[in-house]
Amino acid sequence: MTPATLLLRQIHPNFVQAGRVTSQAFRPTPKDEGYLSVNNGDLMMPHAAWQRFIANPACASVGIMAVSCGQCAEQDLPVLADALPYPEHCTIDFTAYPKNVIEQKAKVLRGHAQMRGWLFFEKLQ
Amino acid sequence: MYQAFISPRLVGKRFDEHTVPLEILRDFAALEEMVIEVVKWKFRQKHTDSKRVQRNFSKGLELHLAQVKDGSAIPAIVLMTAGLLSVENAQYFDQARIEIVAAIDQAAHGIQPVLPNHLLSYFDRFGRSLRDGESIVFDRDQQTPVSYTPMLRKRLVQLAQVETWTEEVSLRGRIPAINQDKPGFQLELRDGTKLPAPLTEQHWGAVLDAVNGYRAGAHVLIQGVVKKDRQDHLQAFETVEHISPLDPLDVTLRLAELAELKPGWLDGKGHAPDPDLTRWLASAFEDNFDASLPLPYLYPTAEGGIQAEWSIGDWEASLEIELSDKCARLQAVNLLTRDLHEHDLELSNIADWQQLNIVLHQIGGGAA
Repeated sequence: MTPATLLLRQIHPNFVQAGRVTSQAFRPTPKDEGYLSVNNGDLMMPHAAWQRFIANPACASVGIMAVSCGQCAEQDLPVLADALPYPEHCTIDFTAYPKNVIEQKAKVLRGHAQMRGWLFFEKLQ
Repeated sequence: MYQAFISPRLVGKRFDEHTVPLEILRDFAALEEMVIEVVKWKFRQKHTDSKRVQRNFSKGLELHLAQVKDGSAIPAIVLMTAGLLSVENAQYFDQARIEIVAAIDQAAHGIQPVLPNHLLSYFDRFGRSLRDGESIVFDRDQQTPVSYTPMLRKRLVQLAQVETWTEEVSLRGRIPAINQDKPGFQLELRDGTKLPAPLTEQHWGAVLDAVNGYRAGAHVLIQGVVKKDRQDHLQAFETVEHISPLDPLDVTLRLAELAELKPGWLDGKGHAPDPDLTRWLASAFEDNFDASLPLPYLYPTAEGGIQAEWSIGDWEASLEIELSDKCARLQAVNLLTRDLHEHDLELSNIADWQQLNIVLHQIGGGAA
């Protein structure tokens, strides 16, 4: 991965209002134990990532947004190419930070992703 | 000529300045009709041989608002007469007042009122303007005062066994079409219910705009009077007073949407926000959030809370609300300078809402 590598993030329909995405989409929830799941954009196209995700009937996504590896590095957030449970899978590691700092970093990442715009959006198909 | 008739106390925030909202006067107009009918009923009870009440019995008799006395707000209502009121007729009016107040007291104690159903049905209009938390208190000679509340009004209307009753409402919804043949339209509620409504000339433009915006999701707020059946189901608008287009970020509308989430909404996980607490939050926002500030974007949280967010210039602000204890964490970050505001707030406390408003103004939310 390079600093320009995009990390693809699924966006849940309830995390979008009037086209704006919540910063929650860019931070782990308590069940994630500090790791945010993303896909390596060098290995996978946004549409393919979305299709694989929604193939699971329990999962919902309206599309894909992204932050780059470089933007994570600016926030001192390590990106791990864990390749689990599939080769393109990565995690952004928030475990070093308390909740309020995680929220600050999520706001910054959200800003970058919103600026970049949707890489794939279901309703535009 | 006139004589004192009744001076109830109006209790509630709206009456704290010792004034009476004009809409409450409609309720007292309904009370006047009720009093006249109860007087006739009392007359017939006493004169069982006379099927008809004296012709022109109520001619020249009217209830007037003479003044608003201090107290929460006390409208002094007097009985106006064209001439001298006979002692006997005056007694009927006293008895009518006593019977009406007694009916409220009986309903409050779970007793079927003595007043017949056709007279109880006047409670549909008398008290309709009262809002939750408000009451009309009637003092009685040597008896405890009787407090007439919206809940008691509903019980009295139910006891009257009317087929339909009415209620003042503010409802949000969309308008799919106008009926031009017989001027009217339907308000489509979130649950799909379509309420027929009359269309008057002054609302034509607002309704047309709403119809044109229907496919784009345009919502309106309609204030008016609706008919309900005995099961409390909405039937139709009886009258429409105001139609206002809603902001796409309308807080009440969005929170109603989020209140419908089911457990597991977040890919099989995710707690659902409690619907009652979500309604509480909508009301708290309505009452305490500074209307000059930009409305928040609202999202559910995985833990069953609500997160409000604002993007204001270089600032990103969030209010993470824990519904169960009505606490919230406010965080505002300047993405360029990294300046930071963080506050723990208790949303049951008005001062903490003011703190939220102040921070949002500080970061430029209220800039003209």
